Amino acid sequence: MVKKLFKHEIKAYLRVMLPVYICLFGVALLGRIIQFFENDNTIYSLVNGSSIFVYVVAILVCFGFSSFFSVVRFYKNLFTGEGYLTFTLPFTPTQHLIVKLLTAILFNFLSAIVAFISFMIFTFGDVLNEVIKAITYLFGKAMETFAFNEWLHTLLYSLEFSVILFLAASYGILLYYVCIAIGQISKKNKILCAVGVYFAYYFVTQILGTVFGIVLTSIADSPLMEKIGDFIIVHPLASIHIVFCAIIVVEAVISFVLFQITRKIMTKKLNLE
Amino acid sequence: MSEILTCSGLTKNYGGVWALNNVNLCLDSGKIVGLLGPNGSGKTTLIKLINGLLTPSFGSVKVDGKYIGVETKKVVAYLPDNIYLNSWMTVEQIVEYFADFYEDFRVELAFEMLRRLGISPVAKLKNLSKGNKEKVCLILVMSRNAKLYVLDEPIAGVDPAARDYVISTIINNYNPDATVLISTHLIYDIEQILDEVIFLKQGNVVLHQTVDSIREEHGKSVDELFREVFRW
Repeated sequence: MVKKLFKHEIKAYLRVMLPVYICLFGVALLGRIIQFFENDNTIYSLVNGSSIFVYVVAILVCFGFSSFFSVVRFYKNLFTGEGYLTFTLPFTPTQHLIVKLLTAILFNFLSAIVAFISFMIFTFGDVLNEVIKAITYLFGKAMETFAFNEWLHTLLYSLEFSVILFLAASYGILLYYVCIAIGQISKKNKILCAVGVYFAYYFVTQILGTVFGIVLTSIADSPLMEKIGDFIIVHPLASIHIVFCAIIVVEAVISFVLFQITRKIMTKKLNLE
Repeated sequence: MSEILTCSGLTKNYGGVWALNNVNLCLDSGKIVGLLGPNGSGKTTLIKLINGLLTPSFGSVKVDGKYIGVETKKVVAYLPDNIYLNSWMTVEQIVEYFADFYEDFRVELAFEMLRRLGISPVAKLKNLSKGNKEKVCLILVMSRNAKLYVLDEPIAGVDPAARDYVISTIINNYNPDATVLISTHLIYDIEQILDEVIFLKQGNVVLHQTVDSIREEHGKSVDELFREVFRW
């Protein structure tokens, strides 16, 4: 049954995102066609410059719209009139939350893939060849530096990095979800309350970040930090794994807390109008 | 006859206000029951609790012997007092949506009712009139072969002709073994189809009786008794 929930969620996203993706491909293709007429003419420079500008805007819209729609979909489908239908479907609030979250993550990554493909279309030819050469060079350097030639490290780095990306996307989306969920508890101005919660969270995390930075600076010369520094010099590969794993743990803990708060509100504090 | 709905000591408090206060209620299968009370008496709160849209402060609700959850949602067909459709969908898509999620949904019946009303399956929901949207909502709910139908103010805000349509749709399409719980304050229009009535007053059940026994004991219609009980 949850498959059907996914099916309808993906349908709802495609209805909005498909035209955005088609437009992005169209702009990229048009930009590439314009480049075929390259010359020293001022009109060409103007048209080409405009096409690059429009393409950059289209990419920003593609990413922005995907995040924006995930927020709108979550709010509208769960906490407005539509919620009366959504919450009386034979699913638990947890299932609704998981489906909404995974679909939002899927479309965030899909937008990145679409943007990458559109970039390949836009730069197809000599420019793309140069970009591929640059990426290959940088990748080769990274392999030398971080011992990517050792397959176990390569595998672990790839795995850790994939988890970091997934959790970062989850965290970003869950932060919006928790703000909306808290905002809807309010009797009036639900959206305004959600925005308020977001800024309050941002403010608190900024303060915590600053405090953490100050503490770190004040202990920079301490024996503990020296030991850490020595460890990094002696075991650089292991140090990268430790940093990656620490990021994973922090992201996972915060995402879990945000998920639980949202789930709890959806289960116990639903406030449909 | 089995019990389809059981409320035990059901209480709901909204920030200090007792919307429902220690409600004990049992409804048997195969009845049409009127949930009657003035505005603010707790009708919608009770309905939301039955549908899992609220959680009780104290007490419990059971549908078909089960606590509210996924299993009860499979057997309860709910019509809220507002339009809850995804406005971007077409009529056909919303029918498909219901058919996908409710195993008891009767697709042919839904399309037949829509055809009789002259509502095109390819029409977008956002382009329908308010009255037609309400009728689509009712058709979707009554196309289910549910065990408990919960209809919140199905005839409020519709003209008398549309009221007749709503009432006939309910009578002609509900599963006769099921119970229909209808919340309304327009008692006169609905009295003739009710088997039982529940009077809710300030979150308390003040009366739960069959319509026949009300007429016998009080010598009054339900509408007259309601006016007496809830006189200002």
